[in-house]
Amino acid sequence: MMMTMDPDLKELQKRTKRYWYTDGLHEIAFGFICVVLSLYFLAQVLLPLDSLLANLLTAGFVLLVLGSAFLTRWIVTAIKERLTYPRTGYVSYAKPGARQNWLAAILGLLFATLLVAFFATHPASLAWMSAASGLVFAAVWAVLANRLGLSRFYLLAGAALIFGAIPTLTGMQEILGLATFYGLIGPAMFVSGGLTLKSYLENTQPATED
Amino acid sequence: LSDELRSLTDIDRLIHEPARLMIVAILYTVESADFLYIKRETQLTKGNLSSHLSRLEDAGYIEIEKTYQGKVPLTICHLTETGRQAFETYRDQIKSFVDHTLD
Repeated sequence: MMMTMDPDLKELQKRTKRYWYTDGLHEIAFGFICVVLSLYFLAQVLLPLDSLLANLLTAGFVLLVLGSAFLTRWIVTAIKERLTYPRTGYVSYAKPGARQNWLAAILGLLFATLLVAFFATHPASLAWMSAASGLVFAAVWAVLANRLGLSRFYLLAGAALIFGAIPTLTGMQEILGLATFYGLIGPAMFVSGGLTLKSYLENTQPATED
Repeated sequence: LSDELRSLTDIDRLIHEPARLMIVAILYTVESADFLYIKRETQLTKGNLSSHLSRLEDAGYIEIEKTYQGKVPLTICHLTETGRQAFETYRDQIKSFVDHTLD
């Protein structure tokens, strides 16, 4: 019995780990953040450098990103409580420990510092900014796809590579390139999440415990 | 008897039972899961699942919290540290047995 159960148990655990992504809401929310970023970069290109709005946008960039992330997380949780949990059940995942948070923060800071230093010393490489963004997105999705067994994330990884390469290969100005990259990858996530949500709703019905 | 075969006699029979093994395996990967999720994933009947959850709770392997989400009753389960260690020990014993005795 045990020998035949083992692979099933692994699949069972994998399915539980990827349950957060089962309804596509996470992609839709992340797509929204990408569209916000795209509009931000587009505003940077279109607005005069010394305009009040451009200065406000630059100063509020971190707030804009953190605010969008917080808002979308709150909305996703609220929708899951009404839509997902009554249909297929509630699962909560362990929050990363303080050590993991510190490690992620240090690695993130190190990566950002290296990136800024590289672009500062090699100005021509700024043209590769959208391609580099696409590469980072693709790497994250490929890792998630492999770890969770979610094949649609491989498609998103491929899309990120292509959308990141387009502005670079067409010689687009770097900020406009970033606006284009986020403007393409955001809707791609809407489509991926939307189709997943549609399929989820078609295949599940609200249930109660009794 | 080889050491590996002998180690099987010490195996935790409470976790070894397939239905309970599935429940513990699910709870091992998350912080908590509710009755509905576990029932869907294990394909057990309500009565069977309740019975297995009670046995695991009696052994101190899981904790069960009964709450409400609006008017809907919610039964949330999570693995205790004892349950987590029991699952890891069980997994190591089985792995060692398979590695040493089967091709």
